Amino acid sequence: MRCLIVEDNEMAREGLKFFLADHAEIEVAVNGREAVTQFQLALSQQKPFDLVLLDIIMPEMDGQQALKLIRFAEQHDQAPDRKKAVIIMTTALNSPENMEEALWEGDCTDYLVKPIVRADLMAMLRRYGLI
Amino acid sequence: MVKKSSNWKLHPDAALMVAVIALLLALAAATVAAAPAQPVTERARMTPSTHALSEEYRDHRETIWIVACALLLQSAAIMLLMRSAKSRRQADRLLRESEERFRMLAENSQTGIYIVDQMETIRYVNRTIVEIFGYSQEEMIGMSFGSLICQEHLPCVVENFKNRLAGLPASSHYELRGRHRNGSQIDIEMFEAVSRTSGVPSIIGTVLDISARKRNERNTQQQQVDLEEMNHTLEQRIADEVESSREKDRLMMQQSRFAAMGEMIGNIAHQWRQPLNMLGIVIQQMQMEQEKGQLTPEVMEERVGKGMELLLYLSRTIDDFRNFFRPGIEPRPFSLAKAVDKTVNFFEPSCSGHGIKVTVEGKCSLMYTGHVNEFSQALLNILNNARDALLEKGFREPRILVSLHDKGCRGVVTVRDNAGGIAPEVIDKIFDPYFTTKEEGKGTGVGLYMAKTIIERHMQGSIYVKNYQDGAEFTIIV
Repeated sequence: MRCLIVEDNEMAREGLKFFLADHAEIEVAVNGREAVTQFQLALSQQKPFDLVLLDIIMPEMDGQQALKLIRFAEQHDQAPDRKKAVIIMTTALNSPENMEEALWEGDCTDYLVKPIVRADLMAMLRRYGLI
Repeated sequence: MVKKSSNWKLHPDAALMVAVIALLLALAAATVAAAPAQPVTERARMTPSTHALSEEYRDHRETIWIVACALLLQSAAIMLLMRSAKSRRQADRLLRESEERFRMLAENSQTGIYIVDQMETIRYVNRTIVEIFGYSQEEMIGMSFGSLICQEHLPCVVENFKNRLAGLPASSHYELRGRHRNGSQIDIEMFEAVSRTSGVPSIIGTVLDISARKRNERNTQQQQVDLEEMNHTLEQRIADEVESSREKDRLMMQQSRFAAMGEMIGNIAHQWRQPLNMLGIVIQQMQMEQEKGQLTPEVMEERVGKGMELLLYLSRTIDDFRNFFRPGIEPRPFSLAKAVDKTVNFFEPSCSGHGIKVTVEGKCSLMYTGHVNEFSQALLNILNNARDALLEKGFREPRILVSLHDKGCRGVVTVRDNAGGIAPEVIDKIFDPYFTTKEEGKGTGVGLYMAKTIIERHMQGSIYVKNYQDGAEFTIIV
């Protein structure tokens, strides 16, 4: 499984990396813009990501905007039969409006509220057949 | 008015003398009885002395009759009619004519005129009285005078009436309530006098309808009472208004505090969520490392150190927030520059996550004596406003620049953003209470109003806003 961790906080980023180290080949991005670039690059190199852990509040480009661009990139991909990536939003903003916007407008797969509990993350990955 | 007969050429001195006699009689009657509406008609037989006659009459030296009538009118004007007569017969005719003329005058007078006999029976009324009381002239003649007077005033009027006829002192001028034919009460003013025409004493009087005047008087009196009452309560009402205004300010201050607290709680949640997340990761990492046999004493020490560092950070954060909101009791000197730094430190985390760059530049040496928390709150409200404008409009490279400098003995803080500025049509209203351009539910319209209240009223400073380049610029001077 290929995973892209998008998180501006270094410690949180390293923690997630540690959680998933045994299950995935991991790449990291520190903001939305980097994430979109890396996602497009991976698509063009035929090495798409299966999982994206996407933080919402980030400088330069936030998670919601990045989500829309990532989905847009998937739609315009040369291989239309390719499975869409599982995108899990990670957020400190536990408000229904944020989640609703992310789920219905941005078309994310699911979301996790910080602090992230490893067991919850693993259960979610199992549910989506990633581990 | 002196009128000369066309046939008789009376010497002006003689005519004047007769006129004066009649006038004096009228005045005497008016003074004694205080009844100015009473006409006095007198005949005077006189032989003009030589000096009173003109050359033309000096040779005749005959007796002439002068008929003079004087009427003191309501307005203190005097009507005087005078004729001279050659004989008693002519004088009688002239007298009849004169009486007829006076009857016509009485009939057409705007003042009500009446004559009442000794039995209190009405003997004469003019047309105006008929209009005042609503009866016909025929109905009134023979009526008891008392039936025109309201019950409460009747005894006094009757007593005066009797006294006057008996030659005893009595009031001749009344203001009282009369009774209209339809039963309603009317305000009237009366003058009375005794007349002894033909030897029979009777009362001659005038009546004025003063209902309108009384109504006006009552209205004026009521207005006076109201005015006095208003003056009396004015001070209290001003005090109430001032208190109510203060209460409103307190309420708004409280609302603003709540709004700021809500904002701060959001900031705390944001500031805590990350370290909490990291703390959670550290703890879970330790568990994983233990499972994998990687939890060496060194790793353990590193993880515990990291965990404790995060815990202390959380503890410090909560202390800082608590101090920030603790209301200051006594004004204390504080450094404006430090207050700005502290406020920006609180504010900055709510921006960094959104990529908004917040910078502070410049120096200020002002030590201000006041409540530092209030100043911080005012500045925070302005900063929040700038951040919300940037988030709402989604500008590229959003930034907020806070700069400070000394200006004489005062300190100046400016907050500048690049959110496109404030629309000219609303820029004058942004400090108004409850004015907001934010979406419903997002803005209360309290923040900038409170900032202005704190800076201008509590700190005797000034605050204003203008558009500058690509954004708005707020300036605080304290």
